[in-house]
Formats: sequence, structure tokens, C-alpha cells
Amino acid sequence: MAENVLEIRDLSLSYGDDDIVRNVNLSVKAGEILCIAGESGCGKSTLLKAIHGMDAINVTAGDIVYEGKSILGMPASERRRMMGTGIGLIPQNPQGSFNPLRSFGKQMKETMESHGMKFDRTEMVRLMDSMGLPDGDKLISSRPFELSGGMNQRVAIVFSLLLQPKVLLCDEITSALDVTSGKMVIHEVESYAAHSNAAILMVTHHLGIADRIADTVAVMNHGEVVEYGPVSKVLYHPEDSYTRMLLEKIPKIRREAVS
Amino acid sequence: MKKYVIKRLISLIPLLLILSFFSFLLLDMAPGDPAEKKLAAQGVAVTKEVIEAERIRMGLDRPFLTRYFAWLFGALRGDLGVSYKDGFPVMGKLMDGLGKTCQLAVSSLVLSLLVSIPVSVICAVRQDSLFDNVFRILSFAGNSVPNFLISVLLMFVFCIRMKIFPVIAGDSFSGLFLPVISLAIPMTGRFIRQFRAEIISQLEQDFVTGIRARGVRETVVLFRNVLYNALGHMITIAGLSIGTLMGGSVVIETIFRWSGIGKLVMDSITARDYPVVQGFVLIMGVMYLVIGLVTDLIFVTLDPRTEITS
Amino acid sequence: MKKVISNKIIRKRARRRVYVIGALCVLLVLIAIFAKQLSPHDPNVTSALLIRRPPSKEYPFGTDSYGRCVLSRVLAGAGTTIFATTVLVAVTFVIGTVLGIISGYYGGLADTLIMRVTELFLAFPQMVVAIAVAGILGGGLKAALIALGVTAWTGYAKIARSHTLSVKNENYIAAAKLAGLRGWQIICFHILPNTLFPLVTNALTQIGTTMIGISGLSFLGLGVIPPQAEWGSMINESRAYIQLAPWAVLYPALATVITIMLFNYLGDAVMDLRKAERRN
Repeated sequence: MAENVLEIRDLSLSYGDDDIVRNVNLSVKAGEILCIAGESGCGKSTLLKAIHGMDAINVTAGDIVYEGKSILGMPASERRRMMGTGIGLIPQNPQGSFNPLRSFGKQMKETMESHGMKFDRTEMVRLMDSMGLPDGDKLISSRPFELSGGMNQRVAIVFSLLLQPKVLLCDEITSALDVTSGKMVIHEVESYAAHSNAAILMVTHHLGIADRIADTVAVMNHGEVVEYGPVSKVLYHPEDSYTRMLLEKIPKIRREAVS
Repeated sequence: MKKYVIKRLISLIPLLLILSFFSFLLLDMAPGDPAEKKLAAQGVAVTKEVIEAERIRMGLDRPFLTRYFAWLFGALRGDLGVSYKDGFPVMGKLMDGLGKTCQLAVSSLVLSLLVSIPVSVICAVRQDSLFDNVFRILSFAGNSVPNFLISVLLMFVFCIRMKIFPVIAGDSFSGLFLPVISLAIPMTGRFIRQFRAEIISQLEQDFVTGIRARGVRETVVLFRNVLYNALGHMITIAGLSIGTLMGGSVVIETIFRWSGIGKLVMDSITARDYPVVQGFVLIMGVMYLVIGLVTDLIFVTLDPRTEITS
Repeated sequence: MKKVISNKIIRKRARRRVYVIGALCVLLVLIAIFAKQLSPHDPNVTSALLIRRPPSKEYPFGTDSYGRCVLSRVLAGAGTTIFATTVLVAVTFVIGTVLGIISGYYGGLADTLIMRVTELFLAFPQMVVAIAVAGILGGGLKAALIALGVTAWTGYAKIARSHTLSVKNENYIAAAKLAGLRGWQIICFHILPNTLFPLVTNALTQIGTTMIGISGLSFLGLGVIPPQAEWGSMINESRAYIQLAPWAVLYPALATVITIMLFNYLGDAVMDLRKAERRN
């Protein structure tokens, strides 16, 4: 049995005085895709923030373990090296990914150099092409504010994938995209997991996406995981009433996805 | 970019016209008759006939606008009229002082930047640390003390009590020290406060989270991203402070008897030698407008988004 | 990991700070108003027998080179400074706000015209203009106030305009228009209340700058005309004999610094409160 790359153990989180997440237990193995689903405000994004650790969120109990090591007590320098190459993040809004004033090329180069990697321009162009961004060579020299939000989002995904993370955190990555680009992006993330044997932790309110790519699904409501298991069980034989209520919206979502 | 530069240069023209008009108007605002004041400043015994002759010689019998345009065309050729007091050209007097004032202004600006940039960076990065709190109090205090007060106190401590510097500095190099410090302290306080706020607002931008989440080294995040984005605002802040510096130099030069343009203008006010005051306003105004234009252009070069929106 | 403080506590602390500093500022204003009653001596009475006396029981801050009581003069100076500052801040506040709201609410030609003029005044260095205007008008408090006021209103105009623009298209304004309210009624009852807080914050931050300006001009002899007491001119009068009577410089200096700091701190506190309120 494969080791868990990322484990969330009994995690409780608060922001200020408000408890947001309570007693969450989740894990992902290499090559596995875990979707965390739930309506907005259920705590799924806060959970993701606690994992990448960039925002000030209080961990009131529990632990987050990456490759057998707690990341909460990790020294800042070690954590910095782990970010991007160990745990990667694709944020929800594309403004959250790049310095708007500096070219993509410069930003990718300094990212790679921070990890002692070499910046390979042709590899980047190739990946951009597969993400529906032709003319990558020109795009690399342009600055984020010159491109649309959807294009920025796809470049952000290219950035994340080029770092070859073992765990990739995706925060509602299709919300800034149209249906076609969204499909393209989801496909690319899925094939990345398959080829690189990486674990994906995807936060989405879109159960259709979970159905399409996930191996396991966790449904969150009011800061707690109400149902957690293989996709075949959670989405097709749900036990929890809240999950069932969410699933009633699925046919509608499927129709949208097809059209 | 080229279009923007041209647009800005054109927008400078009405500002320069208004500035020149305002400067010219200043002389007319002064209470009393200019011819009489001129003669009084020269110590000439005033009789009605002498004043009348002087009025015609000065062209005061001509209509206001005619006089304005005559003065304006003179100003464009570098002729700002002559001093009431000694009859020397105003332009020459101002240019003599300008060099000395620039010594003072540039030194204190450089000193302020050298101190405030590293301090504000550390304060912003280590928010609420001891260092931050100490410098927040110091910069607040520095910003709240008028520079004439600082110079009087510095003079008291260093010239009178400790006798390290001469009371009348003259124009020596050691004389530069206290005036520069007096100008630099409030400016440094203001810079630290404003730079710190600007760097913090950049640090709070969403993209910083994104860059850090990719594991980019913190020095790169700070210097090549956060500070790069803050640079335009910081240059604007420094550019705007030149206006305060110009006013401050009048006070400081008077106190330390530094023979720059500020002392010249105060002496001229006392002697009612108004053409010099008029020339001072015009030259300072033009310099301030040009500096404003240059900082704006630097800002747009660094952040082209502003050009698109404006 | 650092503990995150909730917004509620931040707001509470910010509010408390405003109250405390505000109370101290009010106290200062009261001192200035009752300066006459609080003064041990007449601030303008000179005495050849009492020249440059060090601080004593009868003259707590000593006397100056004309034998005048420094404490009484510092108190009288508080009146001058605070009165002049209040007048200037109030007048520029009203002028700037009216112009800014007209500009934002009516738009069009009025907007273009007012904003052009605002930019014009912003383009000139304030202190240079103030020194020249005060110098040529021949000194006096009125001239100094005009000189400083020439540029001081622009900040209010810009703030008032931008906040008017941001509320102008709200539904309740449209509703008020449908209800038949006139332009000035909408401005008074709906727009002004919504722009007041940022304007007041700006006014508070202007107090310190104004005080520095007034005392600076007076120090140069371009503001208050002696023998009227004003801190800047007191310092200028006394600095020549600072070695003999340092108290005649130090006490007005201290009063200047404390007053400016207090009002600047109030401005900071209110600004922090605004930020804390907006976080929600």
C-alpha cells in the first residue's frame, strides 16, 4: 500500500475568534485525486490556506503531515523549499499568482532559481501550448496585466506544473474560465497526476468536476467533513443527508457541462 | 508612452502660464506703489516728481496685461527684472543662491533616503517588532516637529553648549552639517511613515501569497517584487517632498545664515525688494512642476497600468 | 504561528484609542479657551525689573527678555495657535467640500473646471507660495492664513469628489430623486453624511500640518505680529539669548511639539479606526 503524501489529522482551524474548521481528517496518496466539495463558507478554502500556510490562520488542534513530517512546526527555510516543488498551489483568482508588473519569464526564472532548477523556456512554451495558450514565446515576455484573467489563470497552472510538485493544491481553478478552457485545464491537471504520480487536492463547489476526475471525495458542511470516501460511494451511494441534497443539483450541472 | 509624454508636456503649458501670471500678480498685490517702494528701497528721497518719473521709467503707466506680457517675454529670455535694492538683475541673484540651496536640499534629501529606505523596509517586513515600534515612534515624532524648532535646539546643543560647530556657520563644509540634519529629520520621519505604509500595502497584495506559495526565496519576493512595485510610489513621495524642502530651506537658511536662495528671499522680504520674491516663486514653481513631471514619467514607466487608465 | 486577533478586538482597541486621545485634545482646546483665566500674569505686561528670571514659584516657566511671564505667554499662544488653526481648517474644509461635492454630483463642465483648478493649486509648492504671499502682503495672522489656505482646500475637494462619485449611483440616491428631492437636499441629506468621515479624518491630519505652517511663518516674522503671543514667534524672539534664558525657548518649543504630536496622533488614531471599520 502506497504511503500517504499528505495527511490532515484532527485539524481544527480558527480565524480570529471564529472556529472555521473542526476535526478534519483527510489524506491523499501519490497519483490520487481528492476533491473537497461543499458550498461557499463551508471551510474548504480555509483548509487549503492552512495547508499552504501563507495566510494567518490559527491551528487550534491537529496536524498537517507532508511525507511523514509535520509542516506546522517546520522551520521557515525548509518550508520555503518545500513550497512549489513539494506542495504546489494554484490559487482561485489569477491576480493572486503573479506580480502584475513583471514579465512571466522573469518570474518563472526566479522561481526556478529559488529551487536550484534551470529555467527551460521551450518546455514552458510546450506546456502553454497544451493548455490552449499558443504563441507562448511571446506570452512569456509579456506582463500579467496585459493578459486576460483566464489567460493568467492558465499561465498560473503552467507555473505550478513546471515545478513538478508532489502534491498540487487547486482552489476553484475553473471559476475564472469559460467551459472549454475549464475542461482543458482540468484535463491537464488530471494527466499531470497520472504521469507524474502526484497527489491532487482539489477544492471545488462543482460536483461535476469531482465526478469526472476524483478518486476520493470529501464533502464539507459548516467546517466539518460530513462524508468522505471513494467517489463511487460518496457520489453514487451517499449516506449523509447533506451530500444527498448537494447531489440533487448534479443533473443540472451535467447538462451545463455538456452544452 | 511617447503619446503620454507629449500629453504631459502639453498639460504643463497652462500650468506654467498660470504660475507666471500668479508670480506677476504678486508684485501688484503688495500694498503701496511699486515706484515708491523701489525708491524707498534704494534710499532715495521721495518727491512726487521723482516718483512720477520712476513710474514711467518702470512702465507702470501701461495697462496690466501689457506689462504682464512684457515681463513674461523677458522671463522667457531669462530676464526677471532688476532688484529694487541694488539694481542688479534678479536672475543673477537667484542663480547665485540656487547652487548653495541645492547643496543643502540634495544633501538632506540623500541623507533622508539613505536612512528611511532601509528602516522602512525592515519596519514593514518585521511589522510590530521592537524595531518597528521604536522607529514608528521616532518617525512620528520627527514628522511632528517643525524644522525651525529642530534647528534652534540643535544650535543650542551643538553650537552653544557643546561648542562643536560655530554659531554662524558661514558657508563652510562643517556649516553644512546642522542645516542638513535640521531639514532631514522631519523629512526622514515622513518618508519612513509613508514608505512603510506603501511597502506594507504591497506586501498585502494577493500576488505576494502566490509567489511565496511557489517557494520563491524571500529576498527575491522582497527586493525584486514588493520593492519593485513600491518604487514608483516612493519616487513620487520623494518628488512631492521637494516642495516642502523648498519652503524648509527658507527657514533653515535664515537661521543658519546659509547664503542660499531661501535666505536671499527672506532678506528681500525684509527689504521689500519684491522683484526678487517674485522671481523666487517663479523659479521654485517651475522647478517643482518639472520635478513633478519627471516623477510622473518614472511612475508610468514602472507601472504602465496608470497610463492605460489615465 | 502568530495568533490572529479578531477584527472585533481591533475595532474596540482603535475606538478606545480615539476616545483617549480625543479627550486629551479637547482638554488642550479647553486650556486654550480659558487661557486668560489660567494665566498667573498678563502675558503682555513687561517689566524692566524681571528680565530673564529663571523659573520660580511665581513665574513657573520664568520670564523673557522683556520681563514677561513665559507661562502666561505660552497659554496665550495656545489660544492664538488653536484659534488660527481652527479657522483655517474649518474654512478650507467647507470650501473644499462644497467644491468637491458640486464637482462630483453635477459632473460635466463644473467638474472639469473645478478639478482643473484643484490640480493647478496642487501643482505649486505650498510653503513657497505661503512665504511669498505672506511676505508680500506684509505679514500678520490674516495674511499668513490666506497664504496657507490658498493650497490647503485641495485635499478636501479631491476626497469629497471621489466619495460623492462612489455613492452617486447608489439606489437610495435614485430613490430620493424619484421622491422629488432637489439637488441640494440630496447633497445635504444623502451625500454629505456619507462623505463626512473621510473628510473629517483629512481635517484631523491637516491640523498638525497647519500648526507647523502657522508657527513656521510666525517664526520667520511673517505670521503673528509681536507682541501678540504665538509659539513660533516667541521662539524666534528668544533664540538670540537662548544661552542666558533657555526656558524662554524651551517651554514654547515643548508646547508646540506636544500640541502637534497630540493632534497628529488623533489623526492617526482616527485613520486606524477607519481602516478597522472597513475590514468588515
